[in-house]
Amino acid sequence: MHGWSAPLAWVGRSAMDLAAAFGRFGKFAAAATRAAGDVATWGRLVAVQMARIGVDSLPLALFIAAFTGIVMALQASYTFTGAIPLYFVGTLVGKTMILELGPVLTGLALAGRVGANIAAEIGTMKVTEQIDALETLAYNPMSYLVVPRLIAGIIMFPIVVAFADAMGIVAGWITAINLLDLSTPEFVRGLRLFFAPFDVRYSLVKAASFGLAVTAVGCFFGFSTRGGAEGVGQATTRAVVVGSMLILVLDAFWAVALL
Amino acid sequence: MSIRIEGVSKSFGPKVVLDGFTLDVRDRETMVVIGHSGSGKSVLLKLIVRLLEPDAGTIVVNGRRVGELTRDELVELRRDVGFVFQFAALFDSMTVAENVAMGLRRIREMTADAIEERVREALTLVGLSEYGSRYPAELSGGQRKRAGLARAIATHPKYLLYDEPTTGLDPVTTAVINRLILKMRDELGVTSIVVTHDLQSAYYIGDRIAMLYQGKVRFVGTPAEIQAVDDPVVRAFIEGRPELAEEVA
Amino acid sequence: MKRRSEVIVGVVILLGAALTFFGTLWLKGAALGREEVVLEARFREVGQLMEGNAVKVRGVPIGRVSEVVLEPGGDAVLVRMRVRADAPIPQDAVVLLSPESMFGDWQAEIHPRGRFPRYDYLESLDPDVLPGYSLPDMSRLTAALDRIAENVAVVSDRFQIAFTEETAVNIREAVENIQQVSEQLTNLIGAQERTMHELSAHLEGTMKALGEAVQTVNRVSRHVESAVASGELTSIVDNMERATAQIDSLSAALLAASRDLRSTMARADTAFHALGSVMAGVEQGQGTLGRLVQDSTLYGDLVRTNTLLQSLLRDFQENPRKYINLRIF
Repeated sequence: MHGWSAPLAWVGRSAMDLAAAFGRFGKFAAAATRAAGDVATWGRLVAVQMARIGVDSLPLALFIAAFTGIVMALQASYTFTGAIPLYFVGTLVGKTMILELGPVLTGLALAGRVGANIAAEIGTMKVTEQIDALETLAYNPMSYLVVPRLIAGIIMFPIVVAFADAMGIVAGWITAINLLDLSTPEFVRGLRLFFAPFDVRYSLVKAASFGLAVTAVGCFFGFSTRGGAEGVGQATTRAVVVGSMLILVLDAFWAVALL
Repeated sequence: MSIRIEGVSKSFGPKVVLDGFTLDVRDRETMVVIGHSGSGKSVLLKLIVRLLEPDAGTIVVNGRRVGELTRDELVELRRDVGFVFQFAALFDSMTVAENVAMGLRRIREMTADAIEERVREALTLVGLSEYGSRYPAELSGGQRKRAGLARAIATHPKYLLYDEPTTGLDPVTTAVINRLILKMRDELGVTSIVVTHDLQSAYYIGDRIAMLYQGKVRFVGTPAEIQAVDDPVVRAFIEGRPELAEEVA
Repeated sequence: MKRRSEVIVGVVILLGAALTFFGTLWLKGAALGREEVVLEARFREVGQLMEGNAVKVRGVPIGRVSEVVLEPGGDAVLVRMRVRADAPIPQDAVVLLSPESMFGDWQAEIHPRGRFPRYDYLESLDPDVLPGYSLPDMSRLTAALDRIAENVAVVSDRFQIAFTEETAVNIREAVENIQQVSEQLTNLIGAQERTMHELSAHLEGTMKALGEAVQTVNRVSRHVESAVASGELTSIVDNMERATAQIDSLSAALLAASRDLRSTMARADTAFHALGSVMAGVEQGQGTLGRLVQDSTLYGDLVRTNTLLQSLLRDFQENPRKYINLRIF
């Protein structure tokens, strides 16, 4: 082709690819929704996925939250020099942990851990014809593979985030009383100062939407896998990248919609 | 209990795999489809259970058009069809016994005991009765294929579709599998389509043999007929002499 | 194996749900397993009080504000407070709202009415609803000081035209009172220094200025008697005017303390200009001793001013921290 038209062609092709991907994702979502009615198939599989997606992710989430809490307490005390009393360390740790860092950092970590895991597993099943095998054994792969993971994600992400929120606050508190000249009552006073129960709801709703996004993206790219090991690798990478981006977009969306 | 494939075409992008393919498989017949690697034999099997949709043409199984079935009817059809995948396609996360039980679990009337009984029966039939608690990764290639076969036959299907069942196996295992295929036809009255390029097996198990060439059926006939045919394309394939086909082109 | 994973998942979910539930309650400051009662109080307005703020008796927290709602019709605000059932609520209780710290968080304090009888509590027809009053914050305090300074300025204007030996003595007493008051104010502000940091330093400076100003007035009044006789009236009035102008600019500074130094300077400048023109008038011989003697309202004005300043001071003393509400957040 002519040299000048190549960039135009690239833009056009990219736009069409993107539109096609959205179309495929729409179909995928519709099929998953239909499959949600097939409780007999996915019902007994949810617990296993909850264990893999939720329980197995707890150590990672708690590790991240603990260090976030520590760093936030130290940075808050560094920022609040002079005019602002130190008990605001509690306010800052509590608010940011519950509203933002708890759900988002956990979500991003799990986008890597859970999203990649799902995409790689389903992608491998796809390229080794295990998904075809499921179909020939009269299973709907949507009910068997996708729905349990989506449901486990929606339920377990908020649970994991609840633990992460608590862990971050506890870590911040321990840091505050050990490394800063702050007492427990002062920290708790700051913690409660601007607390609203809505914060917790906001955190958990966000987490549930992240859970849906990460698992849905993982399943979608897993199902879209073509080729062999290379295809599985590509699907995994895409699942992590798109999952992480979706988390940030959803984070902004909830901030606009709920705050 | 016949399978009719009428004028089926299927392309992947620019690559035409099937082009007006027509084939009749009679009740309780074992039809062997031979052809070059990548000539679309596996695609043909997947079209029959609608793992893929044809671009054109119809497939009729037991008098019903596969393309017009609802989701529920398709599930019913698939229960009657056993599919033996080329690389077995066993579920890695389950033991062999669990793999074999998968199809049985979809049958509502079956109790846990009945499922266990059937699993044992199927594994014994393929000679894997000692391997039920192993995981697929712990099996050899031949054992995996036999496990895949056990999974396909456990539900007592009326049709069996074999995708390269003996490819890459040693002669002894090949013979075991071939005898199983015959046994399925003789004892259970199964209608089968076997896709292979292993001619020895084809002559041994096939009631009739069809050759797929450039998206169409080039020849259909009994093993004796195909060995007597003059068509240079068929001869080139069965004698392993590509120069014969080049003369035609 | 599968059963075990189901059990673990169940345990984790239940733990997470319990953590969320009890964590939220704890952060809300709710009393777990403790009996609570709901108190209601009625206010004209509630400043920056909001749900979750502390409810205190004698400075001890006994509960939290659970709801702040406008009354139907919008004439009053109803505040509901969840407090410990065993908390001692005084007889004829009233509720005072005030800033808890200088960072915008408020509190509701329950007092017997007799402790602060002068406040204008909003009564309710329902005997179960406590009367309430919301204390003013810093901006209102500085506005009051501004008004006082204006009064003092008027007094000093009058001073030119109303002057007797008797009033001179009275003025001296009044001014001494003012000095005492201002010293007490200075001390109080000094006590705030720890929490107010540089801001309080600013305030303290202005308070010191107030003290100096009053001392000047005092010095002047000490010489009043001889001044009347020796004809040094001009210099007395001169001194008096300077002192007044200082008080005036001081109050302006107080008002602007948390806002803008520049506007304070501008106000001071204006005050000095006014002073200059008055001085010019005096030098030109306007206003005579005779006219001063005839006017008896001067003393009254000065006494009123003193009373106002003292009541404000009492307010300030009783609720020292609550007047200082600098909205940093």
